[in-house]
Amino acid sequence: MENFKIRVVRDNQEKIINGSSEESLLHALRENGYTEPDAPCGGKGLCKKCLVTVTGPVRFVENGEITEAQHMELLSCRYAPAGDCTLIIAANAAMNVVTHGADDIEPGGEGLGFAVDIGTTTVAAFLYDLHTGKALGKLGDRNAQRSYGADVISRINACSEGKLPVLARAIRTQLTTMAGKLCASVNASTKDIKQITIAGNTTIQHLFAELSPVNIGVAPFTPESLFGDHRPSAECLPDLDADADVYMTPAVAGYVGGDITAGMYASDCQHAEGLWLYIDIGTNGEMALGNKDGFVSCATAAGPAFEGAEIACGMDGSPGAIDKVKVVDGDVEIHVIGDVEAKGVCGSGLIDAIACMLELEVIAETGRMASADELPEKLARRIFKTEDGFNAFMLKDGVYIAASDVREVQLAKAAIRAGAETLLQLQNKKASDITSLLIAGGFGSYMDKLSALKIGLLPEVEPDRIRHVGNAAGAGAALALTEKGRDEMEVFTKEVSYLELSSSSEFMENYVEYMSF
Amino acid sequence: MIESIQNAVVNGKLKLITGAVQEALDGGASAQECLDSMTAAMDIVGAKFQANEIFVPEMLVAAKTMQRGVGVLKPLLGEGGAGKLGKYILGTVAGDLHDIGKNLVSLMIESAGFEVIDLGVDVPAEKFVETYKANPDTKIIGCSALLTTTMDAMRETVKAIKEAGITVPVMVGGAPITQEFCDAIGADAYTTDAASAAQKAKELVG
Repeated sequence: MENFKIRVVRDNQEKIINGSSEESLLHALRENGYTEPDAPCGGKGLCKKCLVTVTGPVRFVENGEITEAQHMELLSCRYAPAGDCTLIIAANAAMNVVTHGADDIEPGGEGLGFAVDIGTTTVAAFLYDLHTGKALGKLGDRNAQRSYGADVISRINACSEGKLPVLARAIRTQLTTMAGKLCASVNASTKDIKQITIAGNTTIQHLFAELSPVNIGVAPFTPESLFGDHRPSAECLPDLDADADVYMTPAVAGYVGGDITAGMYASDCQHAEGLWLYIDIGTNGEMALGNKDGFVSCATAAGPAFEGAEIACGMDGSPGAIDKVKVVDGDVEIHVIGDVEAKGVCGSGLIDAIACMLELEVIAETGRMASADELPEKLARRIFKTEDGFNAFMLKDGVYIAASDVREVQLAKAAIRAGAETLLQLQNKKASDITSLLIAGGFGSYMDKLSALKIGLLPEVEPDRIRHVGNAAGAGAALALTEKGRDEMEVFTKEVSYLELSSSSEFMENYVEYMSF
Repeated sequence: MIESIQNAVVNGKLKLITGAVQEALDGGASAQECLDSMTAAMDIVGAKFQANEIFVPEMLVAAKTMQRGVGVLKPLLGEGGAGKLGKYILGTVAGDLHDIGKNLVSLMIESAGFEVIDLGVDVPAEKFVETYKANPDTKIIGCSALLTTTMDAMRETVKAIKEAGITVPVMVGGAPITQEFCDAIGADAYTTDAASAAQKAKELVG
């Protein structure tokens, strides 16, 4: 093994770090605290997103071949240094984090309350005056653990490789910083924080509490804890200058976590009349069907397509992302976030694009993409062949939807739809019986409900019965700052049961059926 | 006649296949010719799948159509007709409950002419070994894993098979699996999808 100096340039700032000839450039960056570039697959060479610009000798890890790179864009997980080299990494653009949904809470407490929804992708934090119950501020950020993989499975894998302490430290440091910023913005001290609440999916809750999530990764998916418990801040946020109680919202199962119960509680599911379907759409689609007498919940693996991973031109919802597409005059019209050239397509844009392509018959019900000679001129000019010879549909500025992207969306939407249909089936209900369909989660908030219905992501309910509840998990975390909120949430959670779909034959049948549009 | 069998399978015409096969037989085609045309049809289906022309549901329907057609031929084919390429043991590894991808591979392998022994999901490594010992004429063993968290179970499975002195090729597949991983765990072949798995299996015994 040899050690080399790596000069890292980010945002015109330079730093020299050490790199080993036996470890990837990505590994060296992570060891030195760099959370960029994103590596949604966790550095396995699958997602092709962790590009850096390299100058200097590097070794391709798959065959040991040495390249003398001259300002080359390379996947940082596939190359190790073979000498001193320079890396330029692009800083991630600011990202929209959904922080609406949390209102004022019951007054009467003491000090400040810090409520957090830790999402797999993003973190939303809220500061409250517990005496008045008023919201003082809120803050959103990318989850610092994202650099260890985009989805919970890749983070679980990181833990089986011994990275649990690193992942725990990453989120704890991030929350400490966010609490500091929020307090500073209202001229308060973090010492005034008396109550902290953490909502998140079960894996994320494990990572925060530094409990191993490894068993959640394999059948029968048993978590170490279902939380709904308290710990002192000195233990789980040691760098936070405060003496506070930290409450973690109660989970139902390994894949239905405290973010779902908190979100359902904040959306008033405990008083639901009729039949409600609550869906949180993200990398995993968690959902629950029922009413005030009880809910049955389940989780499906939608995969990272809606987060932009595994999609040829996929990206997150930051400037340059195509976020809306609509049909105008037999062609598509495209909207891009920020006043910039389109760089990629985010989840909401992807769903819109597929919906439009279905409407324009660029895609058939089976998901097959038409070739140019089957389409009218306006659309035909958008069809081209990618390097691997497959059809693709050009949206704008080189950003396109590939035939394989359509397939990824089919898999993702079929998983979510099949989950919902299986819950309906097992309760002897039909989609038309649903009186309220609540969509939660960051991605869900931006998703156009008509497009979601069009591609068959959601059961066939009247659009006016569908409601976006924003960051319901964050709102639930805020409500859990009071004792009343915590007590009610725990009582409600006891009425939420769990259905394991991976062994359900109904789910399998529905999954294949809903793969078509 | 034979063309209508092929078209029925390629287009997944479940309702038409029985009639098409019967008509071909009545018209003088041999059972083997009918079977060959369906196997050829599945090759077309596999190629279309790889070209993104069709997807999982259509491939499933096509394979089911062929199964129904083979049902008509079974009494006529006798020993060594359907499944003439030999036995293929298949299962999803321990800790992993994913069924669909494995079932698709099962259908494609069967359509290619193997007799599939499907062990289902969450299959312990020993079960693969025991099944082989009970079926020593098995030609290939296939392991599937859909979770990155169960890739280790796949590694253990391949290790157990090799340590038991079993020398038939072990094929691996599933979303997180790569050629690199296949090589690292000492498996013999990796393919990206069900259609190429069927092609590869034919090559391995050919």
